Amino acid sequence: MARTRPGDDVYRRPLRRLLLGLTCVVLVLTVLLWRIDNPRAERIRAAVVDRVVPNFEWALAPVTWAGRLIEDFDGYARVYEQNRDLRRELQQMKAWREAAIQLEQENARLLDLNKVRLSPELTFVTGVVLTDSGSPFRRSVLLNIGSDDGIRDGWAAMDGLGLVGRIAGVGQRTARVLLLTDGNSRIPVTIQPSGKRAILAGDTTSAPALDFVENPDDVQAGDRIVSSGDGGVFPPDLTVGQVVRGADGRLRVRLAADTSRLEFLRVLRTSEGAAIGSTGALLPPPAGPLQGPPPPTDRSAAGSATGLATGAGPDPAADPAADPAADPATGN
Amino acid sequence: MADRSTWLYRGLFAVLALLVLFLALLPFDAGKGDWPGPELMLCLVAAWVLRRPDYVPVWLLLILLLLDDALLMRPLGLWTLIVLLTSEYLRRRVDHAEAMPFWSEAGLVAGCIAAAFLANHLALVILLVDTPPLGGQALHALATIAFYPAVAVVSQMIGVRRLAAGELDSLGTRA
Repeated sequence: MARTRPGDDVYRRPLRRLLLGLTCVVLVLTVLLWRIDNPRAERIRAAVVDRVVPNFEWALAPVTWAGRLIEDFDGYARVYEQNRDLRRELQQMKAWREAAIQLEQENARLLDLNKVRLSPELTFVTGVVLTDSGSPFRRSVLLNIGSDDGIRDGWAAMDGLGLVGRIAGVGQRTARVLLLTDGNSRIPVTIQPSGKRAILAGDTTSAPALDFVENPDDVQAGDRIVSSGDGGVFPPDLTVGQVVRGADGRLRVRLAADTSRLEFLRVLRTSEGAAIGSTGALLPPPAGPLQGPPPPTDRSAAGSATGLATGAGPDPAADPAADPAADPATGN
Repeated sequence: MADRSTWLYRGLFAVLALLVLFLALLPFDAGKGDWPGPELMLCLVAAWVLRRPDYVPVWLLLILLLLDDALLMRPLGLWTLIVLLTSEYLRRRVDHAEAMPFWSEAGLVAGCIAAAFLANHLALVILLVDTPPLGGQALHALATIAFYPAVAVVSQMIGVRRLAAGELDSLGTRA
């Protein structure tokens, strides 16, 4: 390799190497920030997504529409069989509809007898799916509604039929829904006829697995799965799907929602979820009552400091004004 | 220093990278878990760096890759770092790669891609992050390797070709 300007090389090469090294260090720090202070990093990500994606909305909508058109076109090839299948299904559905109407009337009568009031707080906001996660091992979609529409982290998202996922990451105009199939998704559920509790754990396959089932033999393929509302994460009794036994013998759930074709999602407005502000810390047990003799009080430090030093127990000598200040001291 | 056509190609690279990102983000098959597609961005970077390193300066790579990381829900900065280091390695090889036949170039890039995926997986394991399934990742890497020749040919067709002997590139180095 011939060097055209040797003098240039003397400066530029080390400088370039230095800048590259600095960049790498910054990138490593970014990764560590992402790992250590994940909520903050995810907020940064949500802000970036919020800034970028809505600008593409004009292009995303028609291209998605065209793609769906092509997908549908494949369907036309099988239109005859589909039609036959649909007719058969329709017959069955008519029978079901009769049964459902009767049940609904009966249910209404019973509710009326019991004076049950259903929770009126479960209202929803509907959003359009803008994008999916774009990487092969993440299952999430981005909605075009965000904190401007009152969306909060942790709310449940459903399509018309069943639970799809939960909100994880909210920007001003966008919100990300972590699908139940994502590897990071864990949802407390109830297996319906037996009432057993389990955790629905996504593993990037289309049928998430059931974990922590007490007696897996008692669970049958075909059992209904609904959300259990444990831990206050989710509203209870949302339809999730049906139990199937996977090829690997694990209990899995076929979702009621059609996750391969998500267009509109309902985000259920639920009660205040716990805000995730930190990566988590130890939860120590509450401090017990102070045992043994009280610590020696330093009489020379008079006034409000006395209250802090004497700590627990009703101390008639303590200044009453210092009592609220004494409370935190007992915990330590 | 860099003339107009270089800037034109830099712009073209950015457009292609954004197009790849855009196509990846389209909401088809959001919940399905079948075959993972190729990581086209890595192919694109390797193909362009091996042909014209001056068309893909580090700052441009940095911006585009960080954007990818943020939008594709990957660990922020990790894949950027890996691709950047891979591109630097390939950049070093450029001078020697002059007489390299196409298939040995593809072999070199295949090795780099495998190493990149391995490094990514190892980093995730070290950071105690939930790693995607190994089989899926291997398929992802294989798909990327399989798509590299196509990306390289297309890049060649749109005018990203090696300098002929004696030509100067925009940074003043002679081929």
